[in-house]
Amino acid sequence: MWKEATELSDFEFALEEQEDVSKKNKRKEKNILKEEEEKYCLPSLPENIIFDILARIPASYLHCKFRYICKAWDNIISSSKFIAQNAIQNKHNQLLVQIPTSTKQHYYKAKLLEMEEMELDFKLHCFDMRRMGRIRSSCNGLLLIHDPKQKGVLYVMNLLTKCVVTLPKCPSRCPHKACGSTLGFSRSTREYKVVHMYSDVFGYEIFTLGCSDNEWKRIPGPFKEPYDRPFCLDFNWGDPVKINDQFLHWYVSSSQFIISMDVTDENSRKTYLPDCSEEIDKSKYALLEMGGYLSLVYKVSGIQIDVWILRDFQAQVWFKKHSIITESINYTNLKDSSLPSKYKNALPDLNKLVPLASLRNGEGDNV
Amino acid sequence: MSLSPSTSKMLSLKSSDGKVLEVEEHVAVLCETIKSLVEDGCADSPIPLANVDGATLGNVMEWCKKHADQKASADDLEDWDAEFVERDQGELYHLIMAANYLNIKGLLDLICQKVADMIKGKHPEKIREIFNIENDFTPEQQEQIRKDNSWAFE
Repeated sequence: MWKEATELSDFEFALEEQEDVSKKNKRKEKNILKEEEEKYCLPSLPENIIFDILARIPASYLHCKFRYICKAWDNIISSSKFIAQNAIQNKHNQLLVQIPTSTKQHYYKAKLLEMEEMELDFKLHCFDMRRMGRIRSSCNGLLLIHDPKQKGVLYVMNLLTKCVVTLPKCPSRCPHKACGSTLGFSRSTREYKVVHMYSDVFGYEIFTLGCSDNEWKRIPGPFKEPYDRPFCLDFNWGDPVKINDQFLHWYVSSSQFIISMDVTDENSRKTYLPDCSEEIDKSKYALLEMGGYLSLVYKVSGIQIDVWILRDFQAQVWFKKHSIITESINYTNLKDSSLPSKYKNALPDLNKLVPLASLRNGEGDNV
Repeated sequence: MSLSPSTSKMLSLKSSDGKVLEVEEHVAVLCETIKSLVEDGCADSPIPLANVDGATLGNVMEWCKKHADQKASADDLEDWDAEFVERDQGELYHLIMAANYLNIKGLLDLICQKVADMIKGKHPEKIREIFNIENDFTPEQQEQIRKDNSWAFE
């Protein structure tokens, strides 16, 4: 699929390449004969095994070395199937970090951070990404990037090969400044889709990578009637929280529900918030991904934070995973010693909390 | 079907060079290829394995035996595996082909990881030598890929 998309833009290059092939085949035949005379070599491994081996090699090595080994390997590494597999195999120890460049607005640089599991150490790889737009979303080694040069243009880049597919402008002409967009992957159809939401009146805009017509598809927004919409003047759609690359969840400033979508069937629907004893305050919860599940972090009171997990997407089953009560934690408030003593053990301002560490199994997240 | 060690019967496997190996069924069925033969009831006579030589078959079965042992802990297996793959290139090659042919995912994963770790830091020429492949890129084509990949806005 990825190949098809890039081949269109690289059409001229492909023509040149074809002319070279016949010349090169002749030379190749000669070389093979020569080699067979010179030394004994192991017969070649089947392609599925080469694929399996290469999928286990960290992306940075593939990028700077393994793609140049031979054409067959370059083809394997450039395929969308491979990049997904490689991202899965290396998932746990690589993190893409993006930093704004100091000189130019809208430009960012990105580095790949590789964690050393055993030694609590990390390496930074440059990966030739010094000046680029802001990464909006990433999925199996494909990145959805906001073009810093052209207003309102998004493109998708293959992290390994740096091949770029520029998407046509959205029908809504959204400048992509205050909107929600993400790159999702449907496991059953093996399709990559960009899902974009500018205003719910306009509806969702969905672009399937490698689709034949190269156009965005419009589908109606989540609210059938205007009174369905939570009323909030300041509300803008933001990027959704993505679970397993397939399930998208948007905060919509509601105390009753969030909006969810499965990128496979593109049906959006309401997911009702967990059943608490009192109504949830819409300004006091946040959504995030935790261990492959959607998690809702709710500040119940000054001293209590509850962490809920959406156990079952279809049946909308929530489960209270943690209830963090500050009185059990010796939290020291550095600056404000003047506060009344009843706030002594209260939670700090949620917005100012910075995660310091999190355990792999999701138990005992420290903030 | 009960595959517990006490009731497990013996299967005989015949390698490409004619050696016959007697293996307990619950060990041999770690090979998906053999498992499907057993399930289809085609595993009575010595099972001919035309693509695996005797020495490699012995190594493969040694791995299967260890991994069929339910008493072995995960840590123990990991250490054992690490030692198991300490072999020369030729042996690894035969093991990888055998694991592929006999369809033993665990063993295939193990050796692929070993090979990946082995070649990761090697010089490109050395990698081509190991895999017996020729650089079929012209220097111009190689340069072209490099150029295509340099960041589009630089």
